[in-house]
Order: sequence, then structure tokens, then C-alpha cells
Amino acid sequence: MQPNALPPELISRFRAVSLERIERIEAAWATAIQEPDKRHVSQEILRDLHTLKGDAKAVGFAEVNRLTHRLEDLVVAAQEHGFHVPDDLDLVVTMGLRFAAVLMRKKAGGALGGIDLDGFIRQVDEVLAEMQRMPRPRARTIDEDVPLPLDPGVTDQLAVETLHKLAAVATSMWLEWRAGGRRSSRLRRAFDELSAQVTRLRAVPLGARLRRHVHGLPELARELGKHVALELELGDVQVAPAVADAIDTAVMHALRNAVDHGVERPELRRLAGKPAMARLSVICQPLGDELLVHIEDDGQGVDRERVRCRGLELGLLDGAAECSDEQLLSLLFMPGFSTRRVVSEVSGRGMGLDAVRTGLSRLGGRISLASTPGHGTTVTIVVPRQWNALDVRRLDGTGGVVLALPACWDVVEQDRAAPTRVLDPLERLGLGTGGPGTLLVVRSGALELGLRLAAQAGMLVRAARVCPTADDHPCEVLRAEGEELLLVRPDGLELGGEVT
Amino acid sequence: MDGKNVLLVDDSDIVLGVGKLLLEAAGFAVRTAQDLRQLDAVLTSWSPDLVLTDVNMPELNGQELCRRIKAQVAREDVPLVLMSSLGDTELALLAKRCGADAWLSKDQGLERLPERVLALCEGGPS
Repeated sequence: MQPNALPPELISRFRAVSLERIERIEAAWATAIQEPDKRHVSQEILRDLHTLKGDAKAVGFAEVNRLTHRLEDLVVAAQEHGFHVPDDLDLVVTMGLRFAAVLMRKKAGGALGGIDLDGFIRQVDEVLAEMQRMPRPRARTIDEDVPLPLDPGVTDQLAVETLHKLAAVATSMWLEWRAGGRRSSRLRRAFDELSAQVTRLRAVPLGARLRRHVHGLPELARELGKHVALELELGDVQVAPAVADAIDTAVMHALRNAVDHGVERPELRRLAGKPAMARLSVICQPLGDELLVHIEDDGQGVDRERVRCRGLELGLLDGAAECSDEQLLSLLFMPGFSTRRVVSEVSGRGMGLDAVRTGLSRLGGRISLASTPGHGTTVTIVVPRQWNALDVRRLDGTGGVVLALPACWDVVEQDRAAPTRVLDPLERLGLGTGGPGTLLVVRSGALELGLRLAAQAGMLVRAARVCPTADDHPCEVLRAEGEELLLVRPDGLELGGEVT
Repeated sequence: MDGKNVLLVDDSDIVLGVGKLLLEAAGFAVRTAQDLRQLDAVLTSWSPDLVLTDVNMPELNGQELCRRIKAQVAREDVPLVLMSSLGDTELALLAKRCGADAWLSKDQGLERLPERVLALCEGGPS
């Protein structure tokens, strides 16, 4: 786009923002020269120059862009010399910034108004060459790893954090209801309402997520010499982002499998009396607390014989034994199972359905497949609609127990080799975990102590969050779709007195 | 390219303004984020097909930003493209380190942005 084609308000905004930026750079430059200890100031200068350069390029102010580029070089050179710089350098930087301000006020692409930019840039180059010849006071070039004096995590995420806290409140409320013997129906109703609101705040429209396949899939099919049309019947279903992700991944794998394995080439379809264009559909059907998503195709269906052969080859089937159709189809979900000898671009890496099933089961969902030879395949995904009413993180514990910790709790993971002393309180409760990392749940208010102890024990801190407090029982058993989750509450853990 | 969602992340509202204008003129649906709060807000309710991000924001460096975007988009097939006025070599190196899928230099201006984004959306060369 030509600079002239840009809306004038964008140009005025650029001028205003940039002039302000130049003033800021001038002030910071003065500070850096006078107080070389304030190293972080040079980061601010470079950041501002960098943005100024990018903005100038974007709106077509080529001279400002060119000038800023040289100013960056000058500041870097000054930085390399710890800001102990000759007057020449100070002068060209100050002049350069003034020039930039003048250039900013003129029209993009307009005459330079008496500024000899080329001459000035030659002067800058001379100064830079001189700096190159000067010995560096410290053998330090610009260190990319210099931590910026900014504290990430303070300004960001306000809304997201509030949402996490609300979810934590919902979890606490649910625990209170359980601890009170599930007697208070009013508490339960309040929890249901709160968790419904939290879920609604986080919800995303499923349609928006899946719509991209409508264009993407036919393109993919064309590469394989096939013709497909995809229809979505999703209604206005809204789900939690994690549910949307899991559904999206599952739908993507199912559609790719359908195009790769299920749908026949046009000539074969015609021979079978089908239209050359295959029809695929994704149908969404809310059913009580669950959401059903069907992915249907009108292709050739699963080739049972091929699945059987592959199953025998991989030792997943006993050659002599009879095997039901259901058992045979379930092989498709086995890790590493693929009937494709050659890995195709589209699917056939033998990891799709297995990974999809694992992803869904994490959310308490499941996946199944039905197929009629010659007529097509239907993959059905079932996910709970309000899975995140309790905001927990899952961790595999010892003895097949899965721990579910409210996502808002302080969690410290420990390297296996490190001493287990700090873990005593957990282990007393039978909650010591195996697996690649070991877990420590820290009581609210004891985070600092916990982290100190963890550091002493050589622990690796992966996550730290504030946990809610309540009394009574330390844990609750939560059943979720055929498995038991032990929902742990940290209140029973007397960390401080035990370990020090 | 109607309906392709492009998320532009840059701390400069000038670059965001020009980029949005150019991409929308080429038929893309564009959302922008100037800081982490806006980024979170956009990603809570909207799902991009491609993310174009500057390498530096006041709050986070390129690597952290990329990690964060990847975690929030939570889908492997959404290309993440670094966009910066750093030099080509530097940018290529940084893209590799950040796990970005491609990179675009702002040094050549933004005029060619739509065609590069189009190529990336179609899985073409970066």
C-alpha cells in the first residue's frame, strides 16, 4: 500500500506517537551517557528505536527508517563501550534524533527540506568506524540474556486470573459441599450456578473453531486426487476452550483419516454407483450433560481384512481365535496402528486415533467408530459439556491412583533423585506420587517456605499458585467416567512444623 | 482467502493499523493484540488460522511470547510467524529458537504482507 493510500488519521497517529518516542529516547540517552550504570536504559532506547524504525517503514517514511537504523547501530556501539563514548558519538546521536523529528513532520515521500541525509549518514559511518577501532572497556558485547528490568506477570492476565480465581472458588465450594455430607442443596445450587457462569465466561463457539476444515479439507483431498465436500451442522454450541481444542483435534484426525482411507477416488466411486464427490459431515448433538459429535463419510468403510492382517502382523490378534467386529475396529485406536505401509502426507502415521483417544479421555470424553463396508464410516466423539466445573490438574500417583489437584493450588514438583524429606506430609496421607516428577502441595500462605525448602532439597519448581483454605478432610474421591480421581485439598498438610 | 483468521501481535499500534488495513483489504479477518492482556482477551473468544507476532513486547521477549501464544492457541497446525525489523539472519535464527514456523522481515515494508500470509496459509514456502 502506498503511504498516500493510508488513512490520514493513521499518519497523524504515527507522527504523535513517534515524536513522543523521540523525546523519550533523547531523555534516556542523556541518562545513559551521564549514568552508565543504568544499563537497562539502553534497552529502553533500543526498544523505542526499533519500534520507531518498524513504524516508519510501515507508513512509508523511508528516510526516518534509514536514519533510525543508523541510530540503532550508534546506540549498540555506545552500549558495547559501556556508554563511555566520545563526544562525536553523543553529538551524532543527538543530531540524528533531531533530524528524525524534523523528517517526521514532513509528508511521507516528500522533499527533504534542506536536510543532507546522505551527508549525515556518512558522518555516522565515520563515527561508527572510529568506535570499532577503540578498545572495549569490557569484553562484553550485547548480551541477549540480560534480564530486562521488567516484571512479567504483573501487568498481564488480569481478566484471565480473575477467571482462575472464580474457578478456584467454585472448586472450594464443591469441596465444602462434599465435606458437609452433601446435605446442603442450597450450597450445591450455588456451586452449580457459579460453575455454569465460569464455564460460560470461558466458552468459545465450536463452529468458529471447526469452520476452517470446510475449506482446508477439500484442498487436502484434491492433493490425493479425491473430491470431497464437507458440511458442518453444529448449531450454536459453545464449549470450554480445552473441549473445543480436543474436539477440533479429534475432528481433524477423523476427517483426514476419512479422506485418506475412507473416500475412494472418483473413478472407483462411479463404479460403485456413488457420486464422484464424496460427502463428509460433522454433526454436533447436545445430549443431556454430554455433547456428541459425529464425523461421517460415505466412503468405502474400514477394510476389515486389512485391519485383521495388520493386527496379526503386530501381534495384536491371535491368529486362531475368532474376533468380533467390535474388537477388530478397536484395533484402530491402538498405539502405532496403521494399515498404511507408506506414510502418507495426510494421515497414516499410526498415531492419530490413539493420541486423539488419550486427549479426549483426559477430559472425561470418549471416541468410537462404526463402519459399514461400501457405505462409509462414522466416528463419534462424546465429551462432557461442563467438564471444567471443577478446575483441576491431573497427575498420576502411585498404585494407579490419579490425583486431581485444584488448578489454583501451589504445586511444587520434585526431581526423583532429590531427598524426599519435604514430601513427608504428603506421604503420611498416602499421597506420595511416583512418575517422572514428585509432587508437593503447599498450604496457602506457606508458599515462600515451601519454595525455600524445595530449593534446599534441589527441587525443580514447575508451577506455583495460591491455594484456597478450608478445614476438615484432606482429600475427596471424585469419580469421572470409569476412573477415580483423588481430589486433594492441601488443608490437612502441616508443612511448616514438620520439616524445618 | 475469505474467512481466514489472522492474529497480529505487535506493541506498535501503527504496525497493527497498517497490517490490519492491508490484510483486510486482501480478504483476511484480522484481530490485533498490542499487549498480553489483549492477547489473552482475543484468544479467549477467537481462534486464529495464523499468528503473526513481533519478536519483542515490553512484557515478554520473543521466546516467551512464542511459547505463550503456542500454549494459548493450543493447536499445532496454526502457523506462528515471527515478524520483525531485525536482519534476515538474526530473524531466521530467532525463529528457530522460538519454535516459530516462519518469519517475515518488516524491513521491506508491509506491502507484501498479504501475499506472504496467503502463501503461508496455503502451506507454501515461507
